Amino acid sequence: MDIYQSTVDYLLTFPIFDAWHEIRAILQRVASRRPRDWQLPIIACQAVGASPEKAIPASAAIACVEISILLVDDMLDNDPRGEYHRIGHGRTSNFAIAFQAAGVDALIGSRASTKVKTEALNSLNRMMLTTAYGQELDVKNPSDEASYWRVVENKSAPFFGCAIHLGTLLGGANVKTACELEQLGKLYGETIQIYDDLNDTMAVPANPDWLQGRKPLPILFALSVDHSDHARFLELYQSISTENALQEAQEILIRCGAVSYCVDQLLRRHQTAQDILNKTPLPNKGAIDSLIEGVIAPVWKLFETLGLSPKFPSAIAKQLNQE
Amino acid sequence: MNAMKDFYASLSSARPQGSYLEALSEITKINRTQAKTLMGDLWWQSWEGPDQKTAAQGM
Repeated sequence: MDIYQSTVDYLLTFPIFDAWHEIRAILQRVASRRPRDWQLPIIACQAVGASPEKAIPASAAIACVEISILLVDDMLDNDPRGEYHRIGHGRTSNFAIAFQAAGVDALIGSRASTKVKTEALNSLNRMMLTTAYGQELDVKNPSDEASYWRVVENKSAPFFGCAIHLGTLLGGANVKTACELEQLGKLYGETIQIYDDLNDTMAVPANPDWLQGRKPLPILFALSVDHSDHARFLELYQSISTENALQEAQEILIRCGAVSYCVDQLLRRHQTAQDILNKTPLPNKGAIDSLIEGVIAPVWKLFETLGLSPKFPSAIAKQLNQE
Repeated sequence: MNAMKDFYASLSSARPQGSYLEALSEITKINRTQAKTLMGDLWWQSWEGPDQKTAAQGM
């Protein structure tokens, strides 16, 4: 089964996609890029022992809501690639509303029982509301550690938690299992956010995060911790467009432990996700295991380049468990 | 919340060889190219990765 084609086919059965060619075009364009996130409900559904077809309405809901979130996110971030540059803020907002409602429709149209559908709709609605709150917190540019994690918890984690949750619900899992895997999905989402922050700060040329004075995790670390290069980093941060400033600032991020801290946070989430997976009885753990191992693989690869033993991952797990 | 400061203090203190913290301290010696290993091919599963972020781009 091609889950992208199946997801699009499912959504095209809803009359609005037939009547409104612009939103149909957006959907098909996004599907052609085969977004990884659309697979999350399918993976979760398979993990609880159900066939992937059962999760297609969940994938469709996640696809629509993700498009909605990103249309708005572009406007909030002043992203130069944003569709709002072409069609204006008003129409972009209207598209976002349409996709959000289409996501709800996708779940209502599933063949699940009324009880399951109600729980799934609750989950989707909670996620949309929390993500909107997280976006608002993010716009305020959090400047301390507690605020940063509050943004991650509200803006990044709920989407991924919900994607997994919907897949388990439509797959027929009990409430306890669905909730445990939702937590695991949230950890996965936090992991993705940390990688995003690393990516944004280490990118060349300077990412808008630097230019707009934002504070992704590595920069927040370098600004918060009293390391020997703190004064110089602050100077560079405030004039990042000057020649060689970005390179020097990125070298300080590595040297002061900011990248190490991000790796530490990635490994802690990975370990917690593994602990959840280990204690959750599932007919097909392999589906979820591949997901969480895949996302931590770059860390293992880095350790490998540093000459650390292939047995190192299990040694780390042991040490984290002892803390 | 002082997790960052606590982490930095731990990283700056003596660590047993082969320990978790020792491994993390090795990361402070890598170069920028090695740091990019962490990004790897992850853009495709990124929340806001290249060509992924803008849902309607090029519609």
